[in-house]
Amino acid sequence: MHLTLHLTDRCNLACRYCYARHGTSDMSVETALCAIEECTAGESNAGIIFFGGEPLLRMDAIFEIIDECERRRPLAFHYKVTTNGTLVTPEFLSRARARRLHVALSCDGLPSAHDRHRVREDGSGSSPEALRALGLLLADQPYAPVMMTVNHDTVEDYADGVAYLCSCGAKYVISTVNFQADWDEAARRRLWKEYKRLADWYLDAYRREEKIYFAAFDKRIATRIWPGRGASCQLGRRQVSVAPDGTYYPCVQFVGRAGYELGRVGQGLDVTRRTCMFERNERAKPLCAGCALEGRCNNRCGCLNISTMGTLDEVPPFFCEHERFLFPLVDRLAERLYAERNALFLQRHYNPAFPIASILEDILT
Amino acid sequence: MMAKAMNDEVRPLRKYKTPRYPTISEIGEADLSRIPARWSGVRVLTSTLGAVAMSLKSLAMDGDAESPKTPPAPTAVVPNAAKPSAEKREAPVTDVCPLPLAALAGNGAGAFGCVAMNPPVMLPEAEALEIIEREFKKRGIDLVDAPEIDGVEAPVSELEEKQKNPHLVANILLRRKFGEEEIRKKRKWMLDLGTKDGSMMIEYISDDDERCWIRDPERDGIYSSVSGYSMRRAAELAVKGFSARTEGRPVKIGVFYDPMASAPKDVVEKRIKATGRKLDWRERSEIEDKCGRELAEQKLVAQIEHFFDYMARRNAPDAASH
Repeated sequence: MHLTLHLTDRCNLACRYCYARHGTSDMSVETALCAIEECTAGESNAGIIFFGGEPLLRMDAIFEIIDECERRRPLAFHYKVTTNGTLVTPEFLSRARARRLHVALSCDGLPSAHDRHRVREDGSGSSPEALRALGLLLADQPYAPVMMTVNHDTVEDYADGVAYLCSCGAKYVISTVNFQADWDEAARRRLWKEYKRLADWYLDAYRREEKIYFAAFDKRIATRIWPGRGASCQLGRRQVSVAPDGTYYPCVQFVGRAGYELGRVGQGLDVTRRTCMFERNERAKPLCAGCALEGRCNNRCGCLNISTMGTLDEVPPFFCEHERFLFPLVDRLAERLYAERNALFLQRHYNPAFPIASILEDILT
Repeated sequence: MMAKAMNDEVRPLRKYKTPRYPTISEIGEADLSRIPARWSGVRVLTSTLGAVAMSLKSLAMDGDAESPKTPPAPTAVVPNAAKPSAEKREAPVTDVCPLPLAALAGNGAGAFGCVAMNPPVMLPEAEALEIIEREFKKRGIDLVDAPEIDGVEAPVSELEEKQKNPHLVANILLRRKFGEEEIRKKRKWMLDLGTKDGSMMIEYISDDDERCWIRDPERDGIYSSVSGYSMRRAAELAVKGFSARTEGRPVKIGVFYDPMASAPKDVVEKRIKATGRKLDWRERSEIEDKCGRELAEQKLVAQIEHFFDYMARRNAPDAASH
């Protein structure tokens, strides 16, 4: 079970594509701890994700919550925070390391692309802070994921942006296409072209035995190699979001959305309602009936469907087009690497021990 | 096919070729024992990983009800020819002899990039296979995933050569210099579609396939902002490769290819005029793309008609009335 604590809805940036509703509310440490207690009862381990707004605005609360959780062992916790990087300092990273808090950084690749949307209130770009944070973070946590958002007006920097992040030392790039943006024909064509460039880059990296994780490709390859994994969103089951005021929601993009509340902290999680929402989301999408990609395509992502279509029951047409383009490209890429019996490809995708081996290698070499 | 329908609607993909890389239950021990060269200096990794990988794989699969627990034996290393997927494919066809034919319509050639004028429209494999299935169905023939065939003669990739013997790099360069033919070898090949009884099979040459059949020293390894394709030539080479199969009963193989159609300027202009307003470049390019796609579909349908005409002329009643 993962619990996403929206510690605050305040943010020190004003990113133009941000879906979160900004305000002035903070979650109290008591509310957070009560939510953790309610949601992890009977579990042997749990993931706590600190989210916002900008969660590092509540840095002290984060560490207080972690320290309290650690006192509640033997329940095993792991902790993650996603930040815009503006408040990342060596001191913060040192405290994070001491508590095994994993940090993910939002950074949109090339500074020009980053500054187009990830801006301050005055409209100025935040890339200097983000890149400074990237350097500090990767020096401290070499496997820290970098979260990159791709918009219709930054798409031409997509492939260059991913390559740039990797050249800065990032090993895990998790890119997300903003499906809510206005993707006209020209932008879509450019996106396909960028994916082809990324496929060449990925192939080249594997041939050079360079360890990279590019979620857009790796996740799709995993749906072929590990059948039945990855296609289900498990809405509300695998993770629950807690709004600053203590209201439970099934996932991050539902926070503040009327009609999708799953109870309140202190009164408990409404399990029946959560099950109903999960089952509704798991139902086959009528328009997807008979699709050969069913079971691999992420058409059941509740956040995607609710944010673009306003309902759990429909899939955005552009997402469908995106998957129809991307799956064949990714499968051809994997076929090529398999045909070459690329050792890194085989180990990374088929060997469950790869993450340990990879860390061992980094330690020993 | 209307581009509008593609972009504005959720459209299930009716046909999707099973990827030619194994699932976790199909991967062989030999594959999992391959260790990246960068790990070779780290003894603890090389000595333990192979064994650990197989046991962890079994453990990981224990929770996966869909996966059989016994992995199949490893297969030979051959590009573009992973073993058939356990879920869908029938047993490999053996003892067959070829009757392959490249059905021609459209020159299947063109270029994309900075100096390419009026670039053609690519017809992706998934869409093309849907069209082929539909046209065959009209003639009463149901197509399913094709089984693997053996003995197809295809070019050996440079990488394959290098992997086999790194010292061959000099030979490759020399062959390029003196324009010698590339090395070919017989190998297994997975075709795109086939009839249930395996008597007729279909291969569609898409942009990826083209790269498998045409080893152009002038193109390989050169990074340029222009990409050229010659689908028709690749189809002809594929026919040659399939024809190399010499034993057993006949199987009809229809080789179709991406026609790479460019819409004629006058057709595009007519469409633009019909809108009754001045269009910006994006709208114009959308119309151009739509016209190109429609033309590509027409040309692919013409290839299919050509195939059936040829079959009928060759007194192949079983093919025409399958």
